[in-house]
Amino acid sequence: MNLNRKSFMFDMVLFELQDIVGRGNVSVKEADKLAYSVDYYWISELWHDRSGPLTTADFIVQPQSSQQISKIMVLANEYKLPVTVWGGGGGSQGGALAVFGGIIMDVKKMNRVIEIDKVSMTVEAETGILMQNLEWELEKHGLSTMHIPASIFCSTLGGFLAHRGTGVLSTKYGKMEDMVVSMEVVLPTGEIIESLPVNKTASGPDLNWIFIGSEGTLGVITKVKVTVKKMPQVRKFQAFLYKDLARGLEAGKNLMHEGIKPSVIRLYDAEETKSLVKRVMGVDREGAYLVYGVEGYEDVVELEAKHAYKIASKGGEDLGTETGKLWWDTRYKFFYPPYYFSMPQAFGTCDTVATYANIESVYWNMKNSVAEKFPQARFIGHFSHWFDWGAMLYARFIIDNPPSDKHQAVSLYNDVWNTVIRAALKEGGVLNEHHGIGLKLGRLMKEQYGPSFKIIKDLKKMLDPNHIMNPGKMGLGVR
Amino acid sequence: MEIEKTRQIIKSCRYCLMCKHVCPSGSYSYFESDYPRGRALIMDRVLEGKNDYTKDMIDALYNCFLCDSCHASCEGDWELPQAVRQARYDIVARDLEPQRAKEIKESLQNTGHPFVGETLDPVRISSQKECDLLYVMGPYIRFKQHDIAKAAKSIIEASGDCFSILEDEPDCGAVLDMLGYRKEAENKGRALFNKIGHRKPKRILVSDPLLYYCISSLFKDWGLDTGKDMAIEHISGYVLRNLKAGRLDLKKFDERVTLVDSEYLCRFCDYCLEPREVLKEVCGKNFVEMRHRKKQMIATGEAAFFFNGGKVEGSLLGKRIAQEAEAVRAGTAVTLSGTAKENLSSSFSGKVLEFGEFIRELIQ
Ligand SMILES: Cc1cc2nc3c(=O)[nH]c(=O)nc-3n(C[C@H](O)[C@H](O)[C@H](O)COP(=O)(O)OP(=O)(O)OC[C@H]3O[C@@H](n4cnc5c(N)ncnc54)[C@H](O)[C@@H]3O)c2cc1C
Ligand code: SF4
Ligand code: SF4
Repeated sequence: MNLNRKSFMFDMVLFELQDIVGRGNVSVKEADKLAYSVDYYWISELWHDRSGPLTTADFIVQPQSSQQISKIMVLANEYKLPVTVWGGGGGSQGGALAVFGGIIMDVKKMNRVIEIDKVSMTVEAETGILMQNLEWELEKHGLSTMHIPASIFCSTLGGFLAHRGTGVLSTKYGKMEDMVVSMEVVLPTGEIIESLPVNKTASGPDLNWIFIGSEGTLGVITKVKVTVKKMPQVRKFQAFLYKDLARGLEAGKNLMHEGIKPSVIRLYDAEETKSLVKRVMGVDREGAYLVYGVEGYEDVVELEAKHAYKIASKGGEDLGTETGKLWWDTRYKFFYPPYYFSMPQAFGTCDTVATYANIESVYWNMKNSVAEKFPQARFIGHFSHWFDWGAMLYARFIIDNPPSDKHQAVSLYNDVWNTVIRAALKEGGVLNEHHGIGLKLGRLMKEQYGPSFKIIKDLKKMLDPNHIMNPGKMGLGVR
Repeated sequence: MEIEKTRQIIKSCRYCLMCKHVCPSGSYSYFESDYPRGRALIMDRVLEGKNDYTKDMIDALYNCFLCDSCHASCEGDWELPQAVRQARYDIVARDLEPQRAKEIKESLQNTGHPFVGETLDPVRISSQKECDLLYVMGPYIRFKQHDIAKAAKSIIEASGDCFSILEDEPDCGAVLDMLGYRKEAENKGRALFNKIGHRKPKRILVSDPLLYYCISSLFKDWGLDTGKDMAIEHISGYVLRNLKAGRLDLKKFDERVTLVDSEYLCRFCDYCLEPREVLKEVCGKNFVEMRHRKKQMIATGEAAFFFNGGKVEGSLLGKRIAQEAEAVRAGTAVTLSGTAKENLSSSFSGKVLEFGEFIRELIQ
């Protein structure tokens, strides 16, 4: 449809949207179009930095209820308008960008904590709430979801579900998706549905899993019930230094396999230890820095810490509990300027996950592929989420001086991504572990999934026949 | 362009989201242009000559409450509000400021207060002519929050001091400066400075955080030196000093009370300690701190003059503070400004009193 700002159709649609959510809850301002044209995706930043035309929505709409969302979906289907859900805009894959215009549905006003159920240890909340605000509410009751990501200040509960996010304590408490009990979703066609009240059933497939990780392409997650935990009595940290990555990985794996439940294990490769760990924490050592944490009742923690120490000290140099605690205290600092990477540098976080049998070769293959093809790039990484069967690699590449021409910069950027991701896939890795796919990695979805990608595509077709939700993302293309 | 001076701040903030959770203007409208990053993106466009200021970009920059919450939570120590202030200077220099800013300026110029369209009488309190202590009110207290001035008078008298006030006290210029009227602000500041200087007081006493900030900080920027012989003191410091010297006798307060910090006292002037010391002294264990306090306080909206050209719904700003005060089961919340008191009153279930008002109730 013609959404030329000067056409009267623009005003007609605007009026209908205002009628649904109220006048003050729709913006067509230039200032907002600018602000919503950049999320945490490097290419959106590059485009802004290099004066590219803005990739922007026609309308920015703020619903306050599932019913309003439902009406917006019906309207969007009638006019075949794209709808892109925006949570905190903290996604790094370009998922929240309205690349084909239409409506940005900013859900931050849907931020109520509906119920804290201390009997069942769950909290139900609307999904537009910033994670930190939810945590502050829970903190008043001595509780926490234990989903503590670095973007806790800027990303929403719904955003983390949409991207299958991971917090720093995931090794003990799981990823965001592991905390879900039930949810409410507005489908692309406007129906409001609920998953079953609990998730451990033998009552057919778990509907939650259709929408977890669907990145706003299959529906809007409006409410969710997630588990909560009591705050631990004590939290203890311990740091070690290993001569090389292999020894660090061995220690991490053993910590996971000896019956201890660390809250966190974080192992930095030598390059990141030398650069970021030094810069942010002031720990200036050669080798691979590892920190782990244990938490819970004081006496249990004492015992766990003792065993963990025995395991981790094999082949490692004890850097002490203070240096471990220092990591915990400075964990957010890594993400503030000037500690974080910034324009004009080109950089990307290519987190992946693989079994213990494969993870080391995933790391080396990614690193070597970048070194071979892009000598101008640096490659650093750490392993920060550990499962019983494998670990997550949070790898990054950094190019200090990418081409000044924005088109060439995009081409180079995508080239590095293709190279590094294919290197991960080859060794048993996946496209991503917790940042999602979005626009950034969509093109590689069919390569990763092979013939099974058809299932996701068919699901999309069935749930969203007019393909209005988040077109261009997750490799699902446009209609 | 003035924003050129804050280039580094703008460049650092433009893609950063790490203070989203603390920005009160963001959680007022929830639109991205009202968050710190949105403002930095706008200023960056202008800085690089990609855009001139459009009306709604100007609105977004004027929607900033200049509360410093972003900066206070920033590990990189970037002072984003400083960049916003520079942008407002630029906007005013191009005669592009919002109509509401113009109206407030005119009101301040014509009536001495910022309350557009309101006919208000200044508070009448009796004082003496030639005292060492000069109580300066600022337009908010002088024209609206009369009770704060009366409370201060009771405290001063109970401490056995003689005090003077200024006839036709000029506005100090803080609001004008924040709205981008740098020259006019400085002129106002100079007028107040001269009037104070004329009186030669040994001590300037204020209750209003904005005024404290103006005299202790902006005056310096404007080259107005109150000198070593003229100390500036906030009422909380005054109470503390007199309590310690045994000149002020206060009853103990035996209900739970909490303190609502002030962005302009605590964040901008590092004046966080004195009010707490007083409350500890008179309330003992009944003084309870909120989760967010001192520099990590929740903004009260002391410099929230308007939003998108219209009235600021103060209760929206007070709501989160009220929830925190309730979470520590405080029956009374003591604020440091009349604005904070107003914004908190409608959402807090307990009693809300400005610091001086609270102390007045305890005078023996
Ligand atoms: C400084 C920084 C640090 C980070 N650290 C971490 C980290 O430690 N762990 C981690 O997991 N991630 C991290 N991230 C990435 C980011 O926080 C996550 O990807 C998060 O899931 C994005 O949530 P958001 O609310 O910001 O979503 P947005 O960016 O607004 O949206 C992301 C995607 O989710 C969709 N979406 C949003 N809300 C909904 C909803 N309610 N229903 C359906 N779809 C929806 C959008 O359409 C979009 O496709 C970090 C990001 C930043 C900026
Ligand atoms: S003030 Fe600090 S935290 Fe806020 S946007 Fe700027 S750099 Fe980021
Ligand atoms: S000064 Fe306050 S209102 Fe302005 S951007 Fe910073 S946090 Fe937001």
